[in-house]
This record gives sequence, C-alpha cells and structure tokens, in this order.
Amino acid sequence: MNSSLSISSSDLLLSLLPHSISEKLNQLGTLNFYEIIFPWVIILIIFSVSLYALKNTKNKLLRLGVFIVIFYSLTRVILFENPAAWMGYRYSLTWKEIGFREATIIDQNLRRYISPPQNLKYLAIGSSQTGAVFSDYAQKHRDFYKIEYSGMGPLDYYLYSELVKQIKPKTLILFLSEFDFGRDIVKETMVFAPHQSLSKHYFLIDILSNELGTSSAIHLSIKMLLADLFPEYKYQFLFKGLRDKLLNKHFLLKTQEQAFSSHSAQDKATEQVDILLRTLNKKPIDLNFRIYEQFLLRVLNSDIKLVVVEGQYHPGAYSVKNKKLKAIVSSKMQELSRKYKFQYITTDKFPILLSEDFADGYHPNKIGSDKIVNTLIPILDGNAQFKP
Amino acid sequence: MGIKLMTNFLFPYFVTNPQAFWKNWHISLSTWLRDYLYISLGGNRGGVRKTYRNVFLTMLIGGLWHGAAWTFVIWGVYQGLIIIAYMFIKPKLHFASVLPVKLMKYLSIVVMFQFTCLGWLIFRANDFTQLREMFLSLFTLPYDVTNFVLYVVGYLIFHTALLIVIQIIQYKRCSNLGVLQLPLRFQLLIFIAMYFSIISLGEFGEQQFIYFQF
Repeated sequence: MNSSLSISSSDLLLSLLPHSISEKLNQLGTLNFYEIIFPWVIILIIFSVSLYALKNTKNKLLRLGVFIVIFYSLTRVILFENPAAWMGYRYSLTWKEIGFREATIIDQNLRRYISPPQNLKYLAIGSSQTGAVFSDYAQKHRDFYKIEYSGMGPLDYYLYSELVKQIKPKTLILFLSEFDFGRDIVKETMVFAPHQSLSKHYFLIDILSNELGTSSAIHLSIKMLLADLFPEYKYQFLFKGLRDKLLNKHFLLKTQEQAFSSHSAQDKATEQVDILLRTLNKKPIDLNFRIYEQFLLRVLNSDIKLVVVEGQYHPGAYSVKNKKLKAIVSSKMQELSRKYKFQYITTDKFPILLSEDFADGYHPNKIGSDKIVNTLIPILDGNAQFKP
Repeated sequence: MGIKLMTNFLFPYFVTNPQAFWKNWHISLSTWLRDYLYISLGGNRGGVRKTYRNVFLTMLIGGLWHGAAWTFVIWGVYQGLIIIAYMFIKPKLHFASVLPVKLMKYLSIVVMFQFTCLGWLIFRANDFTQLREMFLSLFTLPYDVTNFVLYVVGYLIFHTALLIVIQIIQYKRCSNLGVLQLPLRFQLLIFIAMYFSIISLGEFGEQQFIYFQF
C-alpha cells in the first residue's frame, strides 16, 4: 500500500465530500488511492498498446486476440478492481445469499480501498467473535483497527499473515479459544485467501497431505493458484449469489429459514451452542497448532507485539468435553507464549460472561463486549513493558 | 493434424420424428446398429411386420448396449415402439397438410422433444421404483406449480439460455461450427459469455462425466 500517496490525495478528496461522509471515512482510515487508481493505469497501458497493435496489423487472429485482451482486462477491472463494484456487491448481497465468510470477504475487499491509519496501535483480527467484541471500540478509536473474517481459524491466520505484516500494527490482538483450535480446517474457504508465496504453498501441501492425502492437498493448492490468476473463479460466490437473488431462491426454497429451525432468541442460542459443541473435537488441535505456529513465526519476525486473549463463549457451550479441550489448548498456548514471548491473557483475568452478555450462541452483545474491552485495554495500555 | 472425426450429433433435438432422431443422435452408434443389426436381420425387405420386428430388436439391443440394467432395456423398447408407431402413422399424416408447413415443422419439433425427454427419464432412472415415481408424478393430477418448480425452471432457463441461442445459430447455419461463421464481434461476445458463465457459475466438484460409464 502506498501510504504517502494515500494521505495527500485523501485529504483533497475528503475536503470535497459532505462533512458526514468525510468524517465517517476519516474514522475508518485514509483512502487508498493506489488501490483505486492503479488498475485503471494498467487498463490505460493495455488500451494504448492494443490500439497501437490494432492500427499496425490486419491479421484477423491477432486482432481477435487484442480485442479479447482489452475486453477481458476491462471486465476484470469493472467487476473486481474498483470500489463501486464492491459497494454494489455489498448492498445487493447478504450472508443469507452467499454465506457468512463470503459476506465478510466483500466487506474486506471494500476495506482495502481505505488504508488503516498509520502507526496503528492495535489490530484485532479474527472471526466474527472478534468483530462482535471489538467493532464498537474500533469505531470510536482510530488507533484500534479490526478485521474480521467469519469462521476464521488457525489456517486462515496463516493465509492472512502477509496482510497483518502489511498493516504492521504495534500490537496484534487475537481472540482464540478451544473452539477455534478444536474444529476441522475448512478447505473450501482457502481459495478466498490472498496470494500466497510458493514457500507457503509448499508448507500447506506438506501439512495438509496427512489430513487430506497428497493429491487432495495439491489439488487445493492448484485451486488457490487459479483463484489468484482468475478472480472470476475466486469470487464465484458473487455471481452465484446474484443469480440466486435474481431467481428469488431463498424466498422460493425458504433456505434462510432452514438455517435455523428455532425462532426465539434463546432457542436460537441453544441451537448454535449445540452446533458449536458438535464441531468441537480433539483431533484437529495438533494440526491447528502446527499451522498457528507457522503464523507466529511469520508475524513475530516483523516486530509486531502479539497479545492472545483466551476467548469466551456462551455459558451453555461449556461442558465436560470442552473443559478438557480448553485445558489442552490453554496449555499449548501457554507453551507457545513462553517460546515466542507473547502475552497470553486467560479468561480468569476477565469478568465471566453470562448468557445475557451474548447476542446469540457465539457473539457477545454490547454489554459482553464492553466487559471484555474494558478489561483488556487497560491491561494492554498498562503493559507496554510486558514480560511473559 | 490430419485426423478426421465423424459428426456424432447433428441437432438431434431439432428433429421432427423418431426415425430422424436416430439419424442425428449418437450417429456412430446408430449407423453401427443399422449396418450390423438392422440390415443383418433383414432391414425393411421382409414386409411391414418383419420391418417392425427388426426395428424393435435393433433398438432393444441398442438399449442393452448402454448397460446391463432393466431401465436401459425398457428405454430400448420405448425407442423401438415410438419408431414403429411413427412408421405406422406416417402414411396417415396427410391430414396435417392443412397446417402451414413451418407451423407443422415447429410443432413436430416440440412434440418430438417431449418424446425424447420422456425417453431420457427412463434412461436415467436408477431403478424401477424411481421410474414409477417419475411417471406417476408426470401423469397424475394435480400439477402444482410449486415454488420449487418455479425455482428449477428459472435455474434451467438461466443456465441454458446461452446454449440454446448457440444451438439455434448452429441449426440455422446447418453447421456445428455455426458460431465461427458469425461476424467477429458476435463470436467474441459469445465466447466471452461462455467463458464467464463457466468460470464464474460453474460447479467444479468431482462429478464423473456421464459417458465414462459407456
């Protein structure tokens, strides 16, 4: 991200916008003009070269090739490389049509046109729980930035490690529990990840081979490479979502209502807690920690201070089963915190969250998130010289 | 590269009768069946009844060729019966000459398409139970236009519209390469639309190509 270009151009544009909009944008960060303009510069170059080629050749095949290049490049920029398109997707598609992770992908793609403030003090990145806990605080404090990807797990942290390094906060905050480490990796969302280096692909194939088999792991890696090259493949969910919206699928097939059969908030929370407990098991913990450790190695090498907060869930989600897993995960995290010298803040440092502190089975409401944040920030602010 | 392949499918969904269907569908198989079964059995040289018998046996064996399942046998029998039925009523179709030729042609295409699709139901059924259920739902009232039906029809139209346009272009130009005869800008539009349709709406799961089983 070209930050210096962002600042001066951003101030100029902000001065032209109505005050309410410019104030909102200011809270989020600075407009990233590099992301906005760069694709169009590339288009301009392609157009110029193409027009020159068209002018100087009568070869039918070559002219066809040039037209294809022009059309494809233009379509790609219009569909994927401009904020207006992502705003359009944001306002026409919801999680009900495309899925939770996909909806957060749209949000984050829209966010890339706004750079986080420079010299960012805190970055919290994680699942929708992270969003629920920190959104309110992040909106009010410019030095606190939050990125959420629904269902984000240790594999996703590894895949998004470059994004964290790019933002380069002073402190990275993760909100993790046994529910993050004790569930199977979700390979379907790997194609949404940003571009990965070859060494990361190699690691992924190596580590996922035991779990999925070598050919499946390689197949996944190839899918990720294809997704890098062809955004129309990567963002298939946009077009399928728009198609389903056009065909009124969710109204006709009542698929939204099938997601949760319960209607009352309490029953819905119970149902969500049941799903949580069903997905929880011991088997993936080792694999998730191995991947998580690779994430630590990448991020901690960039002089980013890490703080891991032991996550809390709805009281109904705590059973004998997950207490055992909680102990395993906590113990492993303690070990890593000693090894890599990061701060691990366990739940005993926080007020216990009750069922009324949750909006549903997973996500703290305002009261619950305030309890966490009001405890966490003073710990972070008071521990500038923290030693594990 | 010097390899010349025969045309194997020649707009079979645009035919007006079952005999024409088998001249245009899976041509390599149908010509083999004609040359090595139908003609060997006597073809149409032994009178009407023997001709019907030969047609029936050829189609029955053609059904068996697809696999050792009763549904394939029934499908072969069905194909044989509709050919025989057509051969029987063909001389009696002169009454239809009161209708304009083009209207008659398009009506025949539509009617024949229904018979073809009925055949595909038999062909694709997993077993007799499924076959029975499908036929019962087709031929018993009430015909509810449920939300599910609306969605499926909409889904099919959405995904096949472009392919149908291409098929019509090919049919009008009497060539499977009809699209390549269009002006360059239309070719470009079609190819790019096809590319985006496949890559942005395609399903890339592990589904075996149906013809691998044949």
